[in-house]
Amino acid sequence: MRPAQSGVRLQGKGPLWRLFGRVIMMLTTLWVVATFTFLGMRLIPGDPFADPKVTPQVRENLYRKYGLDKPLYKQYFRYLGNLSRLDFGVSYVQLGRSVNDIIAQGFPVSAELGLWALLLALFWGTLLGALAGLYHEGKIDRSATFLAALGVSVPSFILALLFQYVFAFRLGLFPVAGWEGGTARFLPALTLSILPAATIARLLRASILDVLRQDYIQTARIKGLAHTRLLVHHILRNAALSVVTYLGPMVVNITTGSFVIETIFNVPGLGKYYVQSIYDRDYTLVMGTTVFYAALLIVAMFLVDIAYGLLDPRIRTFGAKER
Amino acid sequence: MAGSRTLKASPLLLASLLFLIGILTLAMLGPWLSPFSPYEIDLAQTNLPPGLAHPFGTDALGRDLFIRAWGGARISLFVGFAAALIDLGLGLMLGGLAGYIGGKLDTTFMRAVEVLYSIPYIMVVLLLAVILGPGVFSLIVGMTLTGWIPMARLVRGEVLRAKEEDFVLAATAMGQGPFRILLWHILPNVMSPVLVALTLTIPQAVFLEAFLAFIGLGVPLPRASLGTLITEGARESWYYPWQLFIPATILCSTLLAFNTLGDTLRDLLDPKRGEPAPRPLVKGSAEIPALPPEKTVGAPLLTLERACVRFLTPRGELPAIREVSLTLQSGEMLALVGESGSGKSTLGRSIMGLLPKKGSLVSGKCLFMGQELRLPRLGPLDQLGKPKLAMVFQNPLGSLNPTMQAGKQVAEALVAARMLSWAAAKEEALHLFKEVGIQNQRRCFFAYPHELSGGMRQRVVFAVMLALSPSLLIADEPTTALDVATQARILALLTKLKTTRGLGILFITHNFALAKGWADRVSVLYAGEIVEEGPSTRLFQDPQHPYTKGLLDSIPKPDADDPDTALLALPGSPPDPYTLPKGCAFTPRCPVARPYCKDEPAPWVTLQDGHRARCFAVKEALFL
Repeated sequence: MRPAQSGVRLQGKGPLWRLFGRVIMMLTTLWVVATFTFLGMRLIPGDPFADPKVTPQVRENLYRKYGLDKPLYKQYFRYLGNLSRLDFGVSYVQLGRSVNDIIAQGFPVSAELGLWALLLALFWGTLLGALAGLYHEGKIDRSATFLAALGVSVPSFILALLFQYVFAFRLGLFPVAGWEGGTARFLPALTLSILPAATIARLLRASILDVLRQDYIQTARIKGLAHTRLLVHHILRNAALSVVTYLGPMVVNITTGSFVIETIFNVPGLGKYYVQSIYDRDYTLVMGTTVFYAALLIVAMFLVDIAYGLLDPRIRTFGAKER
Repeated sequence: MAGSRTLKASPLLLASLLFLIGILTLAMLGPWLSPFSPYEIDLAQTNLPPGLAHPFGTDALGRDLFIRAWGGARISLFVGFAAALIDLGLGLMLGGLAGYIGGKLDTTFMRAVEVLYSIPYIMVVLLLAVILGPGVFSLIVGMTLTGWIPMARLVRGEVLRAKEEDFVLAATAMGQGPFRILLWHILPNVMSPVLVALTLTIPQAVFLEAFLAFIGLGVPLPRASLGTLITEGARESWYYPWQLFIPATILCSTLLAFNTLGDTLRDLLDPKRGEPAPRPLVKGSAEIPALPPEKTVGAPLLTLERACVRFLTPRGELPAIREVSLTLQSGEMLALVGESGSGKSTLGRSIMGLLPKKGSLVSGKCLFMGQELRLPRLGPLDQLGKPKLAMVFQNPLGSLNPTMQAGKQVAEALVAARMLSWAAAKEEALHLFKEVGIQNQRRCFFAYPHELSGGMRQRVVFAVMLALSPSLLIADEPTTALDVATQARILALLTKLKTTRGLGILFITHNFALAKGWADRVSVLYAGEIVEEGPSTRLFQDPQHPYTKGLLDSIPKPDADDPDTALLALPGSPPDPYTLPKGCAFTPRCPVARPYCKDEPAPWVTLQDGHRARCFAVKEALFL
């Protein structure tokens, strides 16, 4: 039940070659995204400085300032050059504001929120999935499976509104919004963790059921191992591998989830600014941030892929495929 | 009809299907169910709670929410279905072509797909909604721009597999055109995984539409999807919560129904379904009691008396083992021979207590060194300080934990069974590796199972089992997965262990030639019953039961004069275990069957040296 690994397969070559191949693949993907965004920006009808109040002289100066007077290919290379220096561009609406400013301001908050959500998701997801898998077909399994199905079916913004209404507004247990102090962090992090937790639970349950059918579990039982050793080293260690493949998509889920969660709970993170720039139709800001997010996610998926290779000895040694 | 049986088998599938049909009907008929228009603003009727005139209440502009909700459901579902169907079409076409044509095209295709696939899906949709401006069209374009890729990968994989199937090869050989083959032979066979993927793509698209609506990129006003309604409802949710919770409930329950439908379909179409998953974590009650040593003297190592194992299956009770009695002495190798499905592996696992707790009924007596084992036992076997049982399975790779070094797997058994320290266990593990004939013990200790050869893996498995210092070893087809030269070496190892350690070995095999060459005694199993047993020299020289004779004739004899008689296959096939006759199960295939064989249990006929067979024909040949 091994999920297909993405990445170039350089069978028969050494691990360094394979790593090199994966890096090339990642850079290609980043380039495709950057080019797509650049072309997309040209496709948007209208001129950012088409305002009739702007005099032709001022408009020309603005064109020159942003390099829009140059031929398209020159603009493209300039854009790629800026990206390679991690310069994600500027806002045409809020003069003087750059994407890098906004990232520097919002990203640390988003990263903290994401980290809390990730930890919560790992905790809840593993607990629920392990219980469901180990007590297969019992009451525990049925309730855990139902909870997990609910978790992947309820969009996070509905959960956020529900939690906000019940726990903050009705019961007053937590602040309604904001990012001041520990209690304010709880509801956003909890909401953001539900979808990944439910996905982890479903994956882990299926994976445990698969592992339990394997003969090596019977071998381990015959050895007379203690419960905890059997559980940790034989069942969970192997079942967890399928969860690791989800860590990449999980980063994506948490990131995109943060857009709405930060908006609803008024968390001053990058996601909130991003949604705000979409509402404002601040195209260059949206594009720049999108490229940043895409790059972040692509790099995260790449790192997870590498981590997976390190965790599974069958991939670590880059040996011939088995099973 | 398979379909109707599937529906009956899974109430969850039926319920989610019915629910979705209900939602779809309401979304279609919604506009006719209410006298109001979804866009009609009535400022005298704002924010009304649900009531008779407005079942879902009204919004801040006095618009009827009932009609808006179902109209919204229609738009959301349209987006979902349209995106999923376009994904399906593109995926089938591109994936099918790449898989079918193969070669360079396929390689190029897969490279391109991998680049596109690593672009986060949601960022593509977002970007496109910004570029093209919000709208149903740009939503669907954005979703399908990379959404077809998983479908195409799935279809390609299935087509690659289907292409190698015999009937497709046959159709190609008969000169049918590629398009016709793709359409008529391959497509029907890739449909079930594709159907599951489709069922799970629809809710994903509906979900994404709602998400985009929430960040201001949904269907433009005045039209409203469920996502739009939820976004509007959210503004007033503290004071008029129904404006949020009604569309939210419709959306969530629809998504839940789609996901449940997809999950149950996947489970039903999964070929692995129905295999019982054993539960190793339930605490076991039965244990092997510690024995006073004198009690064990003289008693056979293992005695089975009228052991029966039945499985409860959806088709009814399946008798796997029917009244099997046998004995095994220390230092003896007993071969249990039978065709696949004869119950030989079940017997081995039931002695070990490894049968799934649910659905296994076990009766009869099992004495191990004079003490009764209760079957099936559960939980990690408590092996500490007790006479020990060990078992080796057919596939050595599957019997070893893939994520643990080989040596550690032996050492942990030593720690558990003999209470050694980890350092001492490591030393002892190296000794055991030497005993089972592993040359480079230190290298093997740190190797992972996949890095070892098949024969080496099986030796590691033996070392694991020897770590328990067992008195009885059940070897379930230990050499079937290995090549012939390695087979002989492994069996020589077993024989050596039998003499040096005084180990009793129950050797389970389908291979008569191996039993003949290596076992001391042989029991022949047919349809869960022993039909003949005896010392292997006697049994193979003078087989009695027609089944044994048939099996022996089916061993290829290279020295036979006439090549036509070298191989006589046994006519017929193994019986259906659900409809076994009262008498001898071999009757339908038996060349010497009597009219009464089917209905009366056959008698045991004892010859010399413990050689016995269970057959009317044998009895009549001797005494009549």
